[in-house]
Amino acid sequence: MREAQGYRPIYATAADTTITFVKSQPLRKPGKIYSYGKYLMVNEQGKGIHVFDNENTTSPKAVGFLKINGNVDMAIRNNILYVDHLGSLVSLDISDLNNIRTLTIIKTWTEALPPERNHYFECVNPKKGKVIGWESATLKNPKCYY
Amino acid sequence: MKNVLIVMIIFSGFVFVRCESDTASNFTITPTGKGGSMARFALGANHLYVVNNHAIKIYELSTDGTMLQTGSVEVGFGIETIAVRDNQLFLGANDAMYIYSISNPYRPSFVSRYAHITACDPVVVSGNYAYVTLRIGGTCRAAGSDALEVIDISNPQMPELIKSYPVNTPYGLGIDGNTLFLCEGNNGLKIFNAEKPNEIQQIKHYKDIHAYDVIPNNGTLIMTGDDGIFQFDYADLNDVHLLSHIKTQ
Repeated sequence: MREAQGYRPIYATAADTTITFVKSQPLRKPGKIYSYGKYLMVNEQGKGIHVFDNENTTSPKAVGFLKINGNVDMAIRNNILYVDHLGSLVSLDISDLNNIRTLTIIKTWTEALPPERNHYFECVNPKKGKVIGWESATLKNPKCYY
Repeated sequence: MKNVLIVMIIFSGFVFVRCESDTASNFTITPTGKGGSMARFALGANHLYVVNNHAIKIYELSTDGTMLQTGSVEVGFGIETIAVRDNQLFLGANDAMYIYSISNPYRPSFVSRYAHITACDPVVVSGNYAYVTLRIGGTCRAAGSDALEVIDISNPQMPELIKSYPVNTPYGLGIDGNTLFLCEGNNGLKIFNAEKPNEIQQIKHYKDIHAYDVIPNNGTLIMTGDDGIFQFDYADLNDVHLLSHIKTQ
């Protein structure tokens, strides 16, 4: 069996489309990282962002998890978090994590294809619903390539 | 939580970014975070630059956190990463490194294109040098060999290769002053002394961890990979050591 690193579609039916802050989650598939003041943000591929209090770098403490389906990238300035979320670019006020506020949503990406070219992906099955994002995955015998 | 976040604002003050706008004397101190080399988002003074496969999208940011898409610049194909330094954007693409000027932050303008073999490649910049990793094989479907290229960008219009070093499945990389960090996937994390760009010396190799990307930050390196988040103290290069490890489940 041939295995390849690539992308797997995330279907609307399986995803919660609102961004929420929930209790900390186990780290499973860490993606990109972002350092903001004493906070360390770790993307959970396609799922959201783990927030760690990293003031003490010898023992970072899990603060909670920003549930952002389809998320891959982030940037933060002045307590405003910019993220990709299900085909949109979203800005969020995270001054109070327990009361995060969505400020702007700009529809920006088409989700018909994976986020990067030159990668294998699991072919889309329209019966499963609308594709709202992609997660990286190890694929077995992938047939689609972009 | 509110108090914690007020503290966070104060603490984040030390992460300042020098932002140069059209008026060179205009100097602002902004609490901005720091991402790794694989980022597709880059913050300019008042703009967010996002790369997709073929273009840079430009979003104007307001102080209240709202934003507006103000433009888009077509670049080429296979753009993977973006980094900003001063008034320049550095794009890592499948077949080249691009430099764009954001002297006019609304309209990034082409400065140069440094072509290389087809590969997957983020780019980081320090001083007069850009460091680019080229990873072939896997999903990158190219021929050639994995390399770390050091490029002289003192004249951004004419980037020039200083030296190409053989490496092993490189992913993200980071540079802090003369210390270079290189993630080699299953081959681990390597730390180099890059004081002499044509004579980079390996200082340390952590072989048994999966390394994807790094953020060097004032003596503390944050590294992400399949095995979790590792932090290393590199304040003393003769005594680089592990600080913590957040394990994956």
